[in-house]
Amino acid sequence: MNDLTRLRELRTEVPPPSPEAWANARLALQRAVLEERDTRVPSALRLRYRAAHRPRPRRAVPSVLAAAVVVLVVVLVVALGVGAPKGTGHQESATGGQHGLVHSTWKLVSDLSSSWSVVSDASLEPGVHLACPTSSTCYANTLTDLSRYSLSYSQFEVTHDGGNTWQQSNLPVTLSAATPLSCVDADTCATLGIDGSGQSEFFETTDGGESWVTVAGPSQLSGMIGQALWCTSASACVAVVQGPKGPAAAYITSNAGATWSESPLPAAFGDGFPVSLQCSSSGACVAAGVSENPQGNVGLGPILYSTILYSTDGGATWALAAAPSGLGQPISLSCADSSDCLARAATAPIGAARTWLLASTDGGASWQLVHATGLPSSGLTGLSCPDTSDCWASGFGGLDSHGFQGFLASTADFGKTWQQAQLPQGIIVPFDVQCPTSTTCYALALQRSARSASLVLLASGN
Amino acid sequence: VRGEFEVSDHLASDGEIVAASLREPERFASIFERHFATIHHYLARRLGEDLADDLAAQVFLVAFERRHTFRAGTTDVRPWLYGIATNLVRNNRRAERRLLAAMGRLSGGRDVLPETESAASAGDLAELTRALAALNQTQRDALLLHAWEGLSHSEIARSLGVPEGTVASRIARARRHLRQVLGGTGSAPHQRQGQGGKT
Repeated sequence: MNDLTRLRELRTEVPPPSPEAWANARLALQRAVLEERDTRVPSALRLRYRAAHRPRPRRAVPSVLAAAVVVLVVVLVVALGVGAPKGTGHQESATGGQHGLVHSTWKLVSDLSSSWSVVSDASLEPGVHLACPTSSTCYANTLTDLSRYSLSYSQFEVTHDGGNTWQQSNLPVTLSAATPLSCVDADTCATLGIDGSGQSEFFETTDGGESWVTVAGPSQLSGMIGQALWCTSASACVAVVQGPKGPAAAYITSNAGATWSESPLPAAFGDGFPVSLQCSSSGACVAAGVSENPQGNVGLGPILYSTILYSTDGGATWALAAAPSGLGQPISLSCADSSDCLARAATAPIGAARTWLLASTDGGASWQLVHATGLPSSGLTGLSCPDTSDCWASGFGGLDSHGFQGFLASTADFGKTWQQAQLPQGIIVPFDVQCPTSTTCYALALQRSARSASLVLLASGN
Repeated sequence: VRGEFEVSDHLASDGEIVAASLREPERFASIFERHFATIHHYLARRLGEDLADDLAAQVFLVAFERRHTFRAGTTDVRPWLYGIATNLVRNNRRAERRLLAAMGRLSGGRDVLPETESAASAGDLAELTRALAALNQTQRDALLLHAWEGLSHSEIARSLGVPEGTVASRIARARRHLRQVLGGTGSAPHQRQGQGGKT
């Protein structure tokens, strides 16, 4: 018996990896995959604001004749009983019309390519936001790149006629970082940001974007990272932000930013990075943020986990919500009223058909996992719930040989079952979805043609 | 090139899947599903099951993060994964020494060592374990990838990022040392290839 044979005898027979080992390793890898996808896929396309913006005619909407043909085809298909097969993902259509938001298709309303051009790049995220306070008014803003590593938020596009025409709205200064716009009504919106000198400033428009009033923001915000702002009136706003040195805190104003009061967040939020905030006029607020695993590198690399907070007094005091452990990043959060909220949350094993959301029926105090049947498992970019049964979600389900697989999906049972809608041809990444009413939704998306891509506004409905 | 990655994962080679995962990160899951058990086994043999759970997961995280460095045109991803795993073993050399010492102490070895033909051979294996622990790290890595994992010299060379000749000499020196420790009880050395046999 030679030495190699003896050495092989020394090779202990070890049991196969336990199911727990498989699951933990799968989860760690899945998080790495999702983190890369969530940062990389949007950043694969970069938007650049065109300085020489001019009002332009809207892109031609489908003609009446074309619409009639589509309706006729749909009627024939239904009459013949030839429906789209179930479970075909992107091609699966919603059943249409029975309940509030459930529409079978989305239509293209506006081509914003004269305002924003799309530049291929793999280094930056576009940061596209849509705020639609009414069924006819939407504010769209994106990052504007000043240089490769410097971003600004100074320009908005505003429509007050459902996307048919757009006006440019400029902030008086260029911001290096800012919250997404929070709108109270068609004329009143606000944002909190950091100007070029590093000072925090609060901006508010009360005339639909024609002009902006600037006041100093909370001084502690210099260089802030992670931010969320929600205004319930022209004078009352709550911000959950993280300063450069201290932990995140909530700041409240009741006089349109003239003064701010600071409220600490629960210690469990730690160095949380605030990503979502929503409040109601009754004083209920829900905030979500992500933190690194407090145990650090536990052999699987640093893992992000989410924390959800709630307040019942307009942000003056906060408590940690009761939620399942091991949550992913709840980058999307939407409350239909002061009680019912839905959030993107838990991550599932790679390749799993299941997607999990979190639902709360008590103003964010406690959350339960909801198996979101029919919703793609990753790449959720937006979530909007105008009432306690209907929601729309935007996102991208992955890549194929034709490019990104964007989706818009609706639920009529508050997140349990979802159906993907048919999108206009070439829609590759819906960045955000907003439903100001139970029957009207808008989405900001990228549409790719043969040689280019453009930012477009979609509206729900046939 | 459109359609370049339009190949089913169950038919695709490791190299094709890694290449596809550069555009579609989730495709890397197939690499995990194919090779996690193999890498876990390797780490469990060298470091024990407890560490293997964490480190095997880490191997695939590292591989995922560095997949752009995987050499294009290579079909088998295992040597690359073994290389990452071996680096993690080196970072945990104390744990390996402890495991080998424990195995050496258990001269009967029933709990740790495999069934042996006789008490005498069990004693030899205890000696062998101690000799293995006394090898320098690079020799032990090469020898165990060959003897335990069945990697050929060329596969080990790819794993460890050294020339094939270096692998051959490390294994030869390691075997010479083991034979000396075993007091010549082993048969004459010969260059037996591992199960892979792809030198």
